[in-house]
Amino acid sequence: MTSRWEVINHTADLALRVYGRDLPDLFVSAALAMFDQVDPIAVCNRAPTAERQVHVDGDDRESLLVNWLNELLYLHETHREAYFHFTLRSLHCDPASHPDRRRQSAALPRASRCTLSALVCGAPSLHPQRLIKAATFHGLHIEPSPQGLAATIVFDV
Amino acid sequence: MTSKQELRRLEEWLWEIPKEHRRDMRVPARIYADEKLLEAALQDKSVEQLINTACLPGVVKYALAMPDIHQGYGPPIGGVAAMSMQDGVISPGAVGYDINCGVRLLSSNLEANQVKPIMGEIMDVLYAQLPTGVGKGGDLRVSGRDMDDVLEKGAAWVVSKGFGTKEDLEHTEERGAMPAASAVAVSRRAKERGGDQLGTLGAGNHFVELGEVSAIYDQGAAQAFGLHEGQLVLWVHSGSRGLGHQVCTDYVNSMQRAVAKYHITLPDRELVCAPVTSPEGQEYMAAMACAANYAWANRQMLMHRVRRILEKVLAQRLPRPSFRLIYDIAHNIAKIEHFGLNGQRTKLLVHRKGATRSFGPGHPDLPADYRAVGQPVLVPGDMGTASYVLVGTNEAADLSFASSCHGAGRVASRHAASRQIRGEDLQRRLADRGITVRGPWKGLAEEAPEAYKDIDSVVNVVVKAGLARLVARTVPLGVVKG
Repeated sequence: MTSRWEVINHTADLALRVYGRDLPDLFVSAALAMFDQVDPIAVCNRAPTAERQVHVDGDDRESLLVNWLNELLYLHETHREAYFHFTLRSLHCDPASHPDRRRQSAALPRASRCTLSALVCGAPSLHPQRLIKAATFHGLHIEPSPQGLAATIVFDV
Repeated sequence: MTSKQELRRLEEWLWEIPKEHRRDMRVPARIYADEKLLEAALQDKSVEQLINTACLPGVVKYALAMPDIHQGYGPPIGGVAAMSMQDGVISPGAVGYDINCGVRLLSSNLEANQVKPIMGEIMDVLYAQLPTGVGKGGDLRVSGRDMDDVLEKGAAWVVSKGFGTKEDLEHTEERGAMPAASAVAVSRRAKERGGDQLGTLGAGNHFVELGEVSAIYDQGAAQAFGLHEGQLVLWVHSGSRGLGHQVCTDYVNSMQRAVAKYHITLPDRELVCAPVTSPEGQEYMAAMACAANYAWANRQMLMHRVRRILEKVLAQRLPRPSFRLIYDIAHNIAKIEHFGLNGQRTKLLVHRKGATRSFGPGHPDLPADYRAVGQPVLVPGDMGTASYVLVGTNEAADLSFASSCHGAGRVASRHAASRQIRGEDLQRRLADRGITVRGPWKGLAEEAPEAYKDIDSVVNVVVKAGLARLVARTVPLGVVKG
C-alpha cells in the first residue's frame, strides 16, 4: 500500500482503494493509481514529454470521477501515452450533486452539475503492463475517511 | 454477503434465492452449481451481484448464474437475464465493456503428434508475428466509410477483403453480423479507438491455443463438427477491443440520465439501463450490435492471420496443412430471441455476460450442417488443464434461456495470482507437462491455471443440469497469451 492508494482483492477485475485530502486530491490519487497499474515503468521515469488538456463533466462526484478516469484511458489508448502529473485547474460540484440529494430529484436537469478541467502530463507508454478497459460505477461512493476522502473504484481489466 | 442457508436447493445442481430474499427483487435468482462451486461463489460478491440483476425492471422468470459464476461489476460474470420486450430494460453494464468477447474453434487436417515436436518453434512464430498484448495495434487501419462498413457488416467485411471464406461466416454466430447495427450510434471516439485494432488479440484472458482432442464423448456430434481423437485443433479468444470498451463507456455514461428520466431505481449504478423500446435503449442496441460486429470482424481477421501463419510454418514439414472454422460464439452480448413463457412463444431480450448461447437441435438460426445436432458450445478452460466442446440442448431453452457456461471462471484475483506465481516459473512448469506458453510474464502469472475453477466440475454441472451435452475434450499443447 502507498499513502494514496491500495489494491483491493477482486476476483475477476481490478479494484483500487484511493485516498485524498479533498476532492481534487482524490481525483489525482485515482489517476496516479490507475496509471501505476497501466504502465508503472513510464510512471516511475517521471520525465514528462507530452501534455493534454482534459475537460470532463458529470451529474455528480462519482460520475465525474468515472468520466475523468475513462477520459484518461481514452487518451492513453489513442496517443499511446501514460500520464503521471496532473494539475487540476478547476473542479466544481454543485452541492445538489450529492448522491443523497440526487436520489430525491425526480429527473435531472440537462446541465451537468460537476465539471473538471486539468492539464495532464506524461510520456510515451512503451511498456504497458495492463489493459484497463474502463473505470466502472460498481459500488462507487466517495466517502469521508481519516485521510479526508476515499473511494473504491472497480476497473474492468 | 449471502449465506448458503439462505439458498433453496431445487435440484442436485440448482440453487435458488427466492424473490422474498430482498424487497427489490422482481424474480428469484438461480445458480447452477455443485456444492464446491457454490461455496466458491459465496466467497465474493457474485451472488449479491446476481441478486441485484434480479431487480432489473422487466426481468422475467429468474436471473441466472452459470457454474463458472464469479464476481464482476453490475451482474456477475456467468450471469444471464432475459427481459420482456414490453416493460423490460437493456443494460450496457449487463453486457460488459468487452462487447462480444467470444471464442472460436478450428479443426485441422493434422494429428497433434505431427506438430508436438515443433510446438516451441510454432509458438515463437505466432508470438512474434501476431499483434498481441496491451496497446498493440494491427497493420490494417480503417476509418470513415470503411469503419462504418465494418460496424454494419461485421465479419463479412473482412472476408470481402480477403481475410477468410464464406464458409467461415456460415460457422459464425449471427453469421458474423447483427442486423440491428447502425454506425451512427457509435461515437467518433469509439471508431478512433478501433481504427488500428482489427485483427489484434488484446490482453488479459485473450489467447490463441493449439490443442489436442483428448476424448470424444459423442461420436455423432463430433463427426458433424469435424472432430476426432488425437486431432490438432486451434482456439482463438478475443473481443471488440477499444472500440467495444468505448461504446460501453459512452452508454453507461449517457444512460445515467435515462435512469432518472424513466424513474428506474437500481441497487448498483453499473446496472444503468433504459427501456428496451425507448430511444436510449434502441440507440444502445444499435451501438452494441456495431461493437459485436467489430468483434466478429476482429476474430475473423485474427483467425485468418493465425491460420496463414500456421499453414506457412507447417507446410515446410507436412503436406497441405489446413484449418477449418467449426464455430464462433459470443459470450458478452444482448440478443433478441424467442422462448416459451407462460405457454406463449415470447420475444425476449437475453443479456449474457460471460455466458454462451446453447441452441438445441433443429433451431433455425443454426448453420445447415449443424442443425440436426445442435449448436457447438465452446468452453475454453485454463491454459494448463482442458477445454470442452459441448452441444446445445432443447431443454436449455426452458432451463436457462438457452445459455451455458463460457469458461472455467476465475477463483483467485489477478493481484493474488501475480503475487503468488512468477510467469517464468509457470512457463517452466507447464513446459515440463508438454505445454508451451508464450506471453508477458505478468500476464502469464495472472492467468495461471490455479487462478481458475476446475473446468471438469463446471462442465459436469452444465451437462448434469441438461444445459448442454458433452462432445469432446481438448488439452492445450501451445498457448500465446495477450
